[in-house]
Amino acid sequence: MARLDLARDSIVVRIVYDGTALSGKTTTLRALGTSLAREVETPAEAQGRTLYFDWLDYTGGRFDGHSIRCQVVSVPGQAALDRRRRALLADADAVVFVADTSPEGYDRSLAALRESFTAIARRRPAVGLVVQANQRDRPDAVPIARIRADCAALSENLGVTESAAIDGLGVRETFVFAVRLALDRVRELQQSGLLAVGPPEIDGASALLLALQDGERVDLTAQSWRPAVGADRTPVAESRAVAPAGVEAAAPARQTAPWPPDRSVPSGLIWPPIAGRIVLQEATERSLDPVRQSDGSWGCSGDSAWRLQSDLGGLYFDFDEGRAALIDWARTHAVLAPYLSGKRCIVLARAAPGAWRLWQLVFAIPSLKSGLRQVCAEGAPEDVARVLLSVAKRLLDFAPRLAATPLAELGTLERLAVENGLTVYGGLFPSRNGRTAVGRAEESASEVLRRHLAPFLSDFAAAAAWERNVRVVVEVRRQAQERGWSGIGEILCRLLPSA
Amino acid sequence: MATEKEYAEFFSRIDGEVGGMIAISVVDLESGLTLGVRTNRQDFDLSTASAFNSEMVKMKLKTMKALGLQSTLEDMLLTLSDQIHLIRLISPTAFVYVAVDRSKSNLAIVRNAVAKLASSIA
Repeated sequence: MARLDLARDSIVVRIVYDGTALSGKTTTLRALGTSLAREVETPAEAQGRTLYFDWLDYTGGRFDGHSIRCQVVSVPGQAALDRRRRALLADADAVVFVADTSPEGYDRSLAALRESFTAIARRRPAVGLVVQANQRDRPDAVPIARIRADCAALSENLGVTESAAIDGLGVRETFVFAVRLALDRVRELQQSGLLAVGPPEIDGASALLLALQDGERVDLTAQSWRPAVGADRTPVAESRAVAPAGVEAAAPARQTAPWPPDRSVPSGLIWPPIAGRIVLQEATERSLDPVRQSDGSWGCSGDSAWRLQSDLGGLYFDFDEGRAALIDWARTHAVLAPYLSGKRCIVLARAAPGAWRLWQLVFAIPSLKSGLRQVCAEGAPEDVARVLLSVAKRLLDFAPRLAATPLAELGTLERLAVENGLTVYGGLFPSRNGRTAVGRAEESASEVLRRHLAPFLSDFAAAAAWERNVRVVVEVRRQAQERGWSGIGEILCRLLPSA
Repeated sequence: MATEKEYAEFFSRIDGEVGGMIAISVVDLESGLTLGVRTNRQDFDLSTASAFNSEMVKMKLKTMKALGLQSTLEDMLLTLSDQIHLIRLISPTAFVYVAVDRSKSNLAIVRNAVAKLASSIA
């Protein structure tokens, strides 16, 4: 979430107040608002209970020459709203856990604290957690020594402060503590070059509410594709889900589409790092509107020169998990880079609040098949023969190189292309989670050409006049002999039915 | 770290001992955020002043480090044409910032009062 907003000369951080129901989160935020002379916005309440979040925006302090803008958000504590709570936690740069330290509420708070700690423990850079031991005004409150011991047992890195939020005591101190933790995270993001630059995606309570509601719609769609796995939201493995019959027709497409990647994607989330950024810049000059594909993936191509695609398993509710997937996929791309068309990139982009999606963007270059089709439709027999021989030679040179890779089965006439004089794979990269066969048994030249060209040549021969076919065959033989490719010429002639 | 109540008491005592107090705050050095504030003049933007002063203190500490000085920074005094500003470090992570009306007080009184009373919140 942390960002450097150059337009406002500020570092934007999100401080999330977590805790069980009625632990005092809203009271804390209101006390903080009074202390900082800021209004607290609560988009939706029911009988005094927070349904979405409380929001407080405060700009103050200085860090690294910039002002610090704190987006302070409290989560809804009710168990039924846990999904919202987790989505809000996913964007935190620091978390204040407001613990109910009354004898009747303490154990529940401690259990929830363990859960929150586990939820954020995997995030990198680390998200700081401070426990605000609330309700210290109660004479029967659990002793602070016990609270400190319980927190220390969970982690040595948990800060503990005391508060009586109802009287506004201890609230400001805790807030400043949390901001310092958030700044530690900002520092780490800066050092690793991962600090996003640009205005915050969420710039107010109403924007957060909309994003949260949109996210829930996206999430619900994702849930419908997932096998029943209880309430666990991480990790999501949509690809392993079996789409139930009828879901495709029922699945709403555009209105629940994930946000496509845009230029604000921070460095570190694009591969290749520099060329990928240029590709993303170029591709997003026109809007990319992903729609659900028949296989459950998201994609768009249409009239655009770009193909955008994210497979069913490409959604992550855990940023670190998404980034690990990006790195893993980038490694595979890097290994196969000599075979791939150049204008492509992979991107981990926000799909919704608390959700990230792994995308690939590929520039659509004309395939070998489209070139063949064009010359077969319009060209003279000698041109057809020339292109046919050239394609056949490329296939024979390239197919054995692809044979030991995951692209072996995918490297078809429709997906192979010529770029800068070299044969390349120009199609979408195989899914990370798909079951693409790796490698292919060795084939003879005849088998390679038959596999790739037989259906096409059969159609061509059927569509063309017999006389033209004969002339093509004659030309193929002649040109093959001229080039010293008689073997290839013979195979092609056998594949042309008129022969 | 002191509580808001202790800060409030400290501010009241400074206000009582130093004439012409304009504003006072306790500031977190790292973030520049205020831990406690009191102002007697609504047109004085204490939050902004505190934030920028945190950068000044950090810069001074950096300067000392660059010079290889083994000393400890105790306070910083700034004399404006009509105001006196005093910054006193109360811990490695926090400082007191006080602005007073120069016509109603003097540097020695302000410095002495803050030094004497700051121990209650250190």
